[in-house]
Amino acid sequence: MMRVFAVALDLLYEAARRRWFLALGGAITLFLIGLALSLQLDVVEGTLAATRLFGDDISGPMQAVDVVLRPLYRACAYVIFFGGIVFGTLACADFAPSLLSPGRIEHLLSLPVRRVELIAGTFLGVLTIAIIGGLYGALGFTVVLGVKSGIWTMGPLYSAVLAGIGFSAIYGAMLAAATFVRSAALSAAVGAGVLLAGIISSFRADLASLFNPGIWRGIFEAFTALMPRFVTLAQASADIAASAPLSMGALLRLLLGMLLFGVSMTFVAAWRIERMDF
Amino acid sequence: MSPQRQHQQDSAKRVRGSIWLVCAVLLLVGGALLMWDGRIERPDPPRVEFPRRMTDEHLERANVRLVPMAPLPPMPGQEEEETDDLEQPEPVYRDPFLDALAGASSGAVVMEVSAFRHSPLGNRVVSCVQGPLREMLDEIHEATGIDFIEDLDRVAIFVDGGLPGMLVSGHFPRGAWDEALKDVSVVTERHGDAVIYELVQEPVAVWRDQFVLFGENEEQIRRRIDLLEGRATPENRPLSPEHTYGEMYGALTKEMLVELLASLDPDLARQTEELLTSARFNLSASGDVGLVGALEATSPEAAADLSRLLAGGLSVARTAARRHGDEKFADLLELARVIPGGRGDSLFRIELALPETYLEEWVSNFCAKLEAGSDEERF
Amino acid sequence: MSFAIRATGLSKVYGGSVFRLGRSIRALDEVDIRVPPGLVFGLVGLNGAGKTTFIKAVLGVVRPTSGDVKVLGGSPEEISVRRRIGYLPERLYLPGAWTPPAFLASIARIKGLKRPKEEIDRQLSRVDLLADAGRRVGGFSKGMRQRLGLAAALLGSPELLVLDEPTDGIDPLGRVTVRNILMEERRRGATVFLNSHMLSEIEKISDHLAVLHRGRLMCQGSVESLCDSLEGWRVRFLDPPPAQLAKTVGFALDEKGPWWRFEGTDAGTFNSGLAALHEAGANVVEVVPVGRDLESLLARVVDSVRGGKQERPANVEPGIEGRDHDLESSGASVQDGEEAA
Repeated sequence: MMRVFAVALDLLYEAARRRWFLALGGAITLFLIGLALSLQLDVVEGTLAATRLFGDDISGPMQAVDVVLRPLYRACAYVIFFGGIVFGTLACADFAPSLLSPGRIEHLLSLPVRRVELIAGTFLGVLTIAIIGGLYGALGFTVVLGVKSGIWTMGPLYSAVLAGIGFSAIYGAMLAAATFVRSAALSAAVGAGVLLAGIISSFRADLASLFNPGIWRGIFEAFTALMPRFVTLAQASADIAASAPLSMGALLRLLLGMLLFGVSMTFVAAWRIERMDF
Repeated sequence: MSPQRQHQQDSAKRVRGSIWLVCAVLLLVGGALLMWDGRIERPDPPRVEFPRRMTDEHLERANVRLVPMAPLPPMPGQEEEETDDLEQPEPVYRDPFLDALAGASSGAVVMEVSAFRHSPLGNRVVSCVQGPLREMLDEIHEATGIDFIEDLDRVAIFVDGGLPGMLVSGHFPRGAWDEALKDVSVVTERHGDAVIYELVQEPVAVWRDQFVLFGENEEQIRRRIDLLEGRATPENRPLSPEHTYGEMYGALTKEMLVELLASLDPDLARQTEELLTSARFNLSASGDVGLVGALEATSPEAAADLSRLLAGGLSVARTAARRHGDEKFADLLELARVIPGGRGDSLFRIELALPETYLEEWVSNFCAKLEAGSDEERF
Repeated sequence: MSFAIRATGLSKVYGGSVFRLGRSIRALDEVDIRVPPGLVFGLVGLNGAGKTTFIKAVLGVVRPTSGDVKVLGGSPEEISVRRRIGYLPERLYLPGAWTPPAFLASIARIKGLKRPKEEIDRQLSRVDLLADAGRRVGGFSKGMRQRLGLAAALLGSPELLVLDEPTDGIDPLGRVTVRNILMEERRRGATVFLNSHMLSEIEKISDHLAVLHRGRLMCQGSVESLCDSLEGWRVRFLDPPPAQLAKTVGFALDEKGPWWRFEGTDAGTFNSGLAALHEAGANVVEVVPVGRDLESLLARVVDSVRGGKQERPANVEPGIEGRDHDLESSGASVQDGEEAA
């Protein structure tokens, strides 16, 4: 297990030196600093009495501050979820192809590490990157709004973890694709495809009715049944960020299902790499 | 290595490698089963309709109620208003029900009972209306088979010079009243198109077949009938036809509003009393109560202070409700908000959602006070 | 006895597996190689001979189609075995944004080294990169990158060093450094398995050799037995000797002239011929013994295969087992091939 962590740690180290990730970290930091400096919230007894952004009054109705901030937390959750997934799909697309590149993979395989551990470490590393990235943004957002409004909630942090788990489903498929064709572009394309299929599968019950009963409908239902439900998870993530109540049992089932999808794709990658010569 | 051993080793490797694929398929199927339903149930958020403006339906309802009314000559003994115009004046389209509520110091609450007659709130209002006349109405029902309560349209509770009164609209055949009240009424007097029955407790007037008016004394009733018939000018009308949207609406005096707020936050009620001039509200009561209030403060500064106070008070009330486990009330109070008027404006608005039981209790309390007031006078 | 590497009947066929379509390439064909422990073993061959495939099979990076490989007494896929191996690939990928210590720390983590900091500094010092420890690898020259790769292979003092073109891209002084390091490792008791195109380098530092050609093992044995045998002499005269007489006594004008070549290992015949020419007025200026070097060995192997007669020279077992033979004694067909050519 320590070797898996070692591989994951290397991946984190590598990511920390990539311009993509540095740019993302910088952009999030700038946004949070900008928000902290430009936003002024006048809170009276738990009510948002006035709001100023860059000195301009943008006050609307006076309402309980946590209620007013809910749409913001929701928006933050959606941005972290879908923004994070799209960014991760692009930025992490070449981790696996790079791992399998000539001169690197044979060197790694000469070290005391199993092939499966390389795959598991890469998956774990990318998952960690996704969760850390999401948590950084969510934590910063929570702290800024918490300091400004006095409302402290863990919701955005939980929603960032959900986004990370959502991305793990995509990255599992990207990892598997990379073991078949060592191409960052194809890996990213597979990630985008799974995201699209996952969005469609979130509405599978409604969309299935567009097909006439028969083989095509059956194929559609079978295919979409396997795909992760990204929109559903994004909505749950937004609900959690906004501290809205929702069925925890159903959420846990969905999360576990998506995690299993990601892990099953990682197993495909493991199966493939065990058969490969480098 | 022998070919046989080589073959065995190769087979073992292939089987070992295939385990990953088999596990992958099993996990994929397992994941699909877990996500099969793919929906996450959420408790329905409280859906409260806030009556913020006239809808087409309300507009149509208000227009139907407008009738052309020319000023009538004064009653014998009353002074005729001087006019230079020799021609008959043009009829003015007015809602006589609203005109009857006019008065300098009056506050009035109108309930569109026909809209929620069979709801718990409707039953409560009906019970309130029946209060003073329960026995009599029962007798009418038994004697004539006419159920006035079923034909209720609007009920207005008003305060006129500190005296409570009630105006009820609907379909009330006059003959049935005469027949029913011939034994219980002390005096029967005609005033315009109205008949005033002097009952044991208090006077009741029936105007045409449409309105029943309850009051503390005959003088008050006569004044209201004059307003109904257009003999008196309806000055300081608390409500105009364009305000008649929602299932309940009204103009509240400062005292009425303070009484309403006292149950939420006594301190807030006290400060409201200092800063507020008047308030008007519209209320949707088809389910949980959505209340939109337009409040006028003594000054723009007072409006700013009061709006902050009210918003803070609502927020505190929500926290308190949550702390006491009243989740529904707390959830509804999340919808509450205060909308400040423009700069230099002493008007502001408030939107508030309350559980439907809350309004029932309020109506009950008001009716209880109405009845108590009547009893005190009686005894 | 135990070998550091023992390949038995090792074959590897690439491609041709998808519906039996496509062309298959036999990269290794029934290769048997034994690498004795504690020595420097050189693997030579032309491009495409299968050297890198053999190394990858030794490391478990490539799965043999048939045959068996034992490394340090176990399977190359065993973690405990890999922990004792240091490997420098031919084209090592080095993350450009990393510093040398970071890269080596990553390797040390996977190897599970204790006190990695001191070991990293020690190896960086050995490959002369300690002064550049703060620089990013992306700015390194090819030689520096190669030396860093060597340092990675040396981490943890492995029992077996597998080096694929270790001096590729390194300047002459750097090559000396690498050579010294490998000698130090040998003295430490490590086995060094080398693959290089720099035949002179291999010849200088190897104890044993194996020659691969088109996936087949052509010969293997100690360097002395394969390369250092006397084949004749080259002589330079002040004035050219009479051609007829020279030919009669066994001399022939070298293609590169003005040298004359005497082919044969009998010193008496050579001296008799030399005396005859001296009497005929040819004064000797310089005499150079001609031995068989690795280059000529490789050339002969290639020529023998081109000649078409050499299908498969008999393998030469390492001298440790006392069955040391040279190419001529074990693979007479090479000579046949050469003659045929």
